[in-house]
Amino acid sequence: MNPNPDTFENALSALQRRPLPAAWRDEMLQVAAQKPRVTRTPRWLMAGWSLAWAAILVLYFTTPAEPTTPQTAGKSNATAPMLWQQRAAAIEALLAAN
Amino acid sequence: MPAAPTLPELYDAHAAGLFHYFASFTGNEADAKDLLQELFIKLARQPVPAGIANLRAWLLRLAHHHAIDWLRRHRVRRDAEEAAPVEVFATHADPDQAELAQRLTRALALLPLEQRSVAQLKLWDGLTFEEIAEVQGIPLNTAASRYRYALEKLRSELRPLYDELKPS
Repeated sequence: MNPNPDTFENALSALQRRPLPAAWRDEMLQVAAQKPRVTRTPRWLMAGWSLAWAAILVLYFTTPAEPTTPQTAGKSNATAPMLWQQRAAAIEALLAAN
Repeated sequence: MPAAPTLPELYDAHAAGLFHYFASFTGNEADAKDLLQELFIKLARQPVPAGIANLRAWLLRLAHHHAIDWLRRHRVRRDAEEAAPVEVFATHADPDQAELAQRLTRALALLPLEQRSVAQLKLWDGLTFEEIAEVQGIPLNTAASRYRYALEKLRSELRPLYDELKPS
């Protein structure tokens, strides 16, 4: 025979749940009330980074760029046909040898 | 509009229910206590928004999400279901009630997590099926059927004792 559902449910609901230990209240509320700890980057590390970046920028702006003079540009233009000529001569010499 | 409840007021009114809800997930007291502590830390930093109609259901929904996150992190669903049951009920002076409480604690521990949590919300937190569905983010019919299955299992586990105890 099944017990009457309502009576059964009522019997279960009537059981009191265990209260929490009294000591938990203060403990939990104290912990909850504490300010969150914000983890920040240490000042010495921030200062180190700033100095490093400052040094990089100073070096970047004060170091003169590598000179690209018109002579070197002209030289490179002039050497290309010379190289071609040398290469062609070498090929001809090889062919003549064979 | 009523003022938002303070943290001590929230604790006094809801901590026990929230703890037992967490315990139905964790299966052990230490983890349930940790979850309760974390929830109160969250409540201290993000106070209850104004205009909450049902504070108990709102808190339980928050607790439910927190417990689900915990389960995902720890992947201990099986362990929680197999662990020794947490003592749910108060000590009863009446030996019959004490026996029923003890047997019920064991029977609850045998239920699947989904059914156990729904049974707790219905029987001891006094939530309606609509509220349970909202708390757990499940369809209303699912909440009702989980409760029905839970109750059937509890009934079959407790029937001999219940038949003996019930007034004729």
